[in-house]
Amino acid sequence: MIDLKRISKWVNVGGKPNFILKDINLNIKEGEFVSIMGPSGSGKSSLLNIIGMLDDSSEGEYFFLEQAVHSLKEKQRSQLYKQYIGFVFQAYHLIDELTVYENIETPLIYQNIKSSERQAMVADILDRFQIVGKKDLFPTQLSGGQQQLVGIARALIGKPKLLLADEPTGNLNSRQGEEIMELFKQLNNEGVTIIQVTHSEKNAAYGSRIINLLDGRVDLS
Amino acid sequence: MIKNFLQTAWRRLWQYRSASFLSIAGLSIGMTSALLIFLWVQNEMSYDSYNPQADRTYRITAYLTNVKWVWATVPLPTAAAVQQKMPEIEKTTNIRGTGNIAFHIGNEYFPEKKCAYIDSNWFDFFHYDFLEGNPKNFFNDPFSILLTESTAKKYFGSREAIGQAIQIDTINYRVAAVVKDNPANSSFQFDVLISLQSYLSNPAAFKNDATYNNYNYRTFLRLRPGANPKKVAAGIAGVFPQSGNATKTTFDLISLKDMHFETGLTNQNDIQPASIKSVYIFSVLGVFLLVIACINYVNLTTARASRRAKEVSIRKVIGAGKASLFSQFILESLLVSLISLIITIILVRLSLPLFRQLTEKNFTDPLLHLFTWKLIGLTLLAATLLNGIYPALMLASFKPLSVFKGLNVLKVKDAWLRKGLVVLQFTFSVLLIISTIIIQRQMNYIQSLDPGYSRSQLFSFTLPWSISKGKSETERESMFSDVRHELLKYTSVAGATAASQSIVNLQSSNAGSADWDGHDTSFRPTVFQLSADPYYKDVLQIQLAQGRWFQPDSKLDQHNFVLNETAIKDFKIHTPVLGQRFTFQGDTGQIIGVVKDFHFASLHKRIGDMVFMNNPGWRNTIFVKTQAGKTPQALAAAKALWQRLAPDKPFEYIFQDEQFDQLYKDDRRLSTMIWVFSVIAIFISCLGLFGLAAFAAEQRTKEIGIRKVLGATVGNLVTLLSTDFLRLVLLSILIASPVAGWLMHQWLQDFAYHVPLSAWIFLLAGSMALLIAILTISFQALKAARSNPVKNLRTE
Repeated sequence: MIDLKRISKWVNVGGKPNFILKDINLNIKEGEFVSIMGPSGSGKSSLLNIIGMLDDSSEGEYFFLEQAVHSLKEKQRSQLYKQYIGFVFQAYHLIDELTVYENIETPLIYQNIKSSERQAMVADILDRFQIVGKKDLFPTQLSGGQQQLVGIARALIGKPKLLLADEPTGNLNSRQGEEIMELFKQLNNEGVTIIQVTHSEKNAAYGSRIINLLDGRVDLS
Repeated sequence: MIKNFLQTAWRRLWQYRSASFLSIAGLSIGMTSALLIFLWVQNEMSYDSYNPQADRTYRITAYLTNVKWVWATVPLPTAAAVQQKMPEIEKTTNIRGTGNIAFHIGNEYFPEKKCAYIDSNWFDFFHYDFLEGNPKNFFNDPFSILLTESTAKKYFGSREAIGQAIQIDTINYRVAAVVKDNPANSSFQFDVLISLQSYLSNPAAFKNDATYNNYNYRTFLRLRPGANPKKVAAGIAGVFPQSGNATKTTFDLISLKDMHFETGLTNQNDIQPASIKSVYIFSVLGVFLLVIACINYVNLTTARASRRAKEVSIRKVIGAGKASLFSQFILESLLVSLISLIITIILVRLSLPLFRQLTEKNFTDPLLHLFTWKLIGLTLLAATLLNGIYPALMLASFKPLSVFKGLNVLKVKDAWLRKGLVVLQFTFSVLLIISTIIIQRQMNYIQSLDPGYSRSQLFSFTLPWSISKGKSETERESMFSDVRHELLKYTSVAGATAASQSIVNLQSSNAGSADWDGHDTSFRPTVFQLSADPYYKDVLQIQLAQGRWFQPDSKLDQHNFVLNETAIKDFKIHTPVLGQRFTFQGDTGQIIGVVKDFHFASLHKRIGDMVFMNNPGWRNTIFVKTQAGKTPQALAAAKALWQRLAPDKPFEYIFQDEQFDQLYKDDRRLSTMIWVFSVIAIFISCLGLFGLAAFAAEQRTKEIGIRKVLGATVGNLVTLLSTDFLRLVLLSILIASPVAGWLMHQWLQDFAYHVPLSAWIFLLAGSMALLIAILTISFQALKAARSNPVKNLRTE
């Protein structure tokens, strides 16, 4: 599903390149549950963002479902991304002005799905996540765990093949964290490919594979 | 999608309701003010142009070069004669003022001031909306009267006006037509029009008017298409009989459309002239207000744009394209514009009655004009585009990741633009503050300047010509003397005197009749003239510089003169001045006194040469000085006397203070309007600055947090945040001061007597602007400086 070949990313600091990622070769198959670990500044989030097409690599090739992402135009890339990828953030990033229901609905609007269909889809996922009672509340009226649940529901509403999560439990207490990880495992069992960035060994253990990053390289030791 | 956008937009407006309120209020108030101003300007610019063939219609102006008089009127026979002589003239029409007349309806008398006699071509030249009757058969009966709708209502209420009888000076007239009230942009604000035939049916009146000596008619010509008005004007003098005497008259034509701004006429009477200068001033003011409101709105919305960065990022991450983000912003902006539009409409509706009062113009509902909607549409389009496109481009183009990473996406790269806008806004405001102060000072100066005579508790009434008609000079003199004595019997009357005119605005002048020893006869000054009785000086409290005033019962003094100081100087009267021969208006006597200069006209005019005569033949007006607090009794006394002398005329009087106020009505209106709109402009500018200060504080949250952790005091931080803005305001003051100085210098040139342009005014205005700015900014700066640094730093 994902094939990264010699991916590097750097920024120029004082005229010299400062490498964030260097020579990353990575292959992730459909149905995997991958955890990316590593100390702060090792490039975990950058890697996730490149996979999630939120950021470009400076060098290297990236194939997603056999398509060469590195040579796609912005519009096609966005199309690909809209269709197959869902994102979950550490800080949830919900739109404060929208209700739970509307937050979940928004991606569908951008995919030009009809209103009646949207209603059914949102109702489904609310039901599944057992947050029907919260649908008219605004994000600020929810606990962190509930907000993250909404965030995941929003990421999943478009039925993506790939779910990317950047420290999804980072702002949650351990019980809430566990619930989220259980949910991820369940989703993975249903066939969703998941890549998560995490600091926690315990969370990483939920995955089927762990990739360790150190100073922008995959640490194979 | 639209529903989702509108929902977000609405909730956002509600969430930040104070900020939303500020921007919407600013825009609405700005648009309302501009709309009212342009309504007025458009009205001024469109005077009389609604009449058929207005572009081919001209009025004859007469220049009586010997006496330096410029008249809008010509003799009655002129119209017919020029038409016969020049084929370029298609048609002519005449209008003649009636002077003050009184309607006698039932048993009551009603003074009517706004009336005129018109000939049968009038309705071909000037458009009227006939509600009853029609222009064709109006002239069938020579004793026809036309009333405007509200005049008809005033006299006859809901009764049908047509066919009602109205008596004027013992002649019966019949109401033959009722028309809609004159539009606000008509020069002819007459409430009553009477067929000219009726007036000329009086043989004495006809004899008087049928000569080429009496200039009583405004004559309008409609030229054939392509005719040259200059050529026609040059031909007019040819129809006048060649007279050998000294009075030389030339003629010119003025286009109907230019008539509203006509200047230089010696007598204006029934048609109020307008100043093109005020039109320019207000056009600029209207544009100012619109620009200020738009700038303010843009600054406020863009200032809040940084708060939106997170939302935009999320939308991008979950799949929003540039186009959809762009349309979202435009839609939001449109929503705000729409709300502003509704509020503007409501505000215009509410303020229109006040505005009518302020301008004394009978505006129709501006919302019925296409022009209004064009103006609103353009403003909203500009505002929507500025507010929609700017943040849309800015926010739609950045990388969403940077927001999540905590980078500040809204770098101050366009700070120059925003700073420029603030400078522009405050330049306008400072300009208006300076102008307002100077205009107010000039108005105060006018009010408080000692004119050199006393006009307080002084009212006047003019005895109708009919009661002195046919009396000899001696008889008239004894009649006035009787009136005076009669009045002085009342304790409420402190003094009484008779004169030919009011001293407040002396109009009567003459050039060429004055002569004195040592007079170079080529020097023909315009001399203002007033005939006053022996008691005039004391009642009006005029100061003598030397000599004496006319003495009661002195036959000799009736041929003597009192001059003002300016006249003595201008005429280079030989010393000793007293006792010198003086000839004026065909009478020769001595100069017996010199009065100190006093202002007998508005301060727009320099004090001119003036001569007091004592010839009783000229006098028809009684001036009554009342005892303090006994004005009503004095008025009642005068009225009782009047009713004995002229029982068939309504008692009309005017206080000299009122007349004085009339003198500066236009100036006062201008000053009030400038004051009102300045306050609005300054208010809107402050809203903009307020928003911008908030924006700046928000952008520097991190810096403020760090500085605070490092030990900066609230004072340090407020200074830090305010300095930038205050520098801009200072720059505005520097730009605005010379511009305002120049503009106000121009304005003050219209007054022969005016306040100086002192430096302190500029300093005061500058300090006011700075103070207002400091108050506005420090609110935001304090808020930012007092916030918890830990909280600020954590958001990074």
